Amino acid sequence: MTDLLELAVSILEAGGIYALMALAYLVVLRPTGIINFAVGEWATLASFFSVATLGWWNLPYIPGAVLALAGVAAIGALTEQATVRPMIERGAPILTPILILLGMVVVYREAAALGFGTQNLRVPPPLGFGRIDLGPIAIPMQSAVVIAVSGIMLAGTWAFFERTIWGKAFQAVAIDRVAAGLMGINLRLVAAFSFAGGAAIAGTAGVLQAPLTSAHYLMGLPLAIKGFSALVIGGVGRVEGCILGGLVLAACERLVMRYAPIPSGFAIGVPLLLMILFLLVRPTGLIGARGRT
Amino acid sequence: MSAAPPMLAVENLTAGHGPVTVIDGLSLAVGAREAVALLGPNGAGKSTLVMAIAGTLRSRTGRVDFAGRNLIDLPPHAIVAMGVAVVPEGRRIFAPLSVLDNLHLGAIRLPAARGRIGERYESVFALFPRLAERRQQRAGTLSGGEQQMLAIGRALMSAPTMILLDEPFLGLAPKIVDEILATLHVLRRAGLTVLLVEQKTELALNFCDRAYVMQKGRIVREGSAAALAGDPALSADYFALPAGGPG
Repeated sequence: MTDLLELAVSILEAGGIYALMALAYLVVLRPTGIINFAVGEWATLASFFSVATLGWWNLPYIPGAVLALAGVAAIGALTEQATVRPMIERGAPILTPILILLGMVVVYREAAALGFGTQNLRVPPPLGFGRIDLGPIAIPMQSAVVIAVSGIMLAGTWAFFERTIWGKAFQAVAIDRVAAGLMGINLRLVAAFSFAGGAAIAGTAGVLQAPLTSAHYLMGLPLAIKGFSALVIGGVGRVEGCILGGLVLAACERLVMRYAPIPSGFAIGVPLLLMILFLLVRPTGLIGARGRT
Repeated sequence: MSAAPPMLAVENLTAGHGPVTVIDGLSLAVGAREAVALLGPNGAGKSTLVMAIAGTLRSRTGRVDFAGRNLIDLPPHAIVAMGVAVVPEGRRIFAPLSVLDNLHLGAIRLPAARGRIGERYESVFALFPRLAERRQQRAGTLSGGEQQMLAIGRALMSAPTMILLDEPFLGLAPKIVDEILATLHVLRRAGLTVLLVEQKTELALNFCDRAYVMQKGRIVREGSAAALAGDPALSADYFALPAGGPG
């Protein structure tokens, strides 16, 4: 029983981070149609920024984390402005920005390695390494932080998309860019905002992850892969899909690690296997796509 | 044309899609509270002109003055905010969203000076009671006529002073056409300036004060609706299908 509860907590924790990574894809994809594989590097950059704000400058946790996220959000918006917008406005096919952003992965990664080195850097957790006693189990403090913050972030993004007119405007841009412009929706602002938001969300995943595994310049790739798998499993298009995909992915991964008689290194392959399975059997994911006709 | 400056004055406008020039040095004017038809065959560049005025076409040169201000360098959202609304060709409603969301998006640039959103809903629902009945429905599930009503209602949500209608009657049953025409008459009486792009010459000339005839990206004729309607050569000259059938 205790064992299962602890497993459930670890699934919620990993699922929260995967769901955030899936959400980072979605927030860019939904209005722009761009699958942005640089989300993993955004997570890396944010966790390095948190090394600087929290570890080097010793800022209190919340201002330090917010500053790190603001930094990566600014990088996201600048990247859109410098590399994506000129292509879109010249009428380039959507594959062009996707490939450019794939190239930006290398730029970000090497810049991170140059700025912060290639060694592991410790990031202090916000509430220390203690545990909270919760009935039969004791939850590590950082797990509780991860679950709470990712839950708030996912709920907030859901509310933005489903309950606000600007969330609907994002969807309108996805449905028909020209008609959305004719309504008076500022297309440049939506694109810049989606990149900044995607970067901040991926950055949150990075900042949450960093105290658990420490910051490292190669930490982005596995996060990017898991986020993409979660996105495919849950179904592209909705925040609910990200949450479901993240949890299903984390559950499979953790159950395999715990119970399957295979070396733990192979467990890394589980998200890929699951994603391939979904692409073959149910390409629309668990929750079908919506917002496209 | 009266002595007062026109509400919309297009001067020497050249526009196209990328390197392809569709409109070549075109000029036209629409006075305040006037209804002007833009006639012409398929492929004359009528919709390109609408998109160039609305700002969704980026490659354009010349002048587009609206209420005394040149729109040529403004993005579409700034043009909407100035009071120009477009009902695009093919309606282009947001099919997966509800009727209410579609209308709400139309008011995203509603300046406080031109009214509150609640009043806009009321006036659109008064013009199109059917939209009020179906407000929670997904826009894609509406009939063709209702979708056109939604496209017009959505444009009206920004409380425009001028509306550009691009072939709003295409594919609609005669009864629906009459219903929408009646609504457009109400809007005209309320003071809305209209530029109506149409291929149905007779219908457009009945509704409008004046008309321009467009062909291959240029204005080839203009005149009062009455004069053009009385000209039997009009349809034969400008609307005959090119040799070799429809292309």
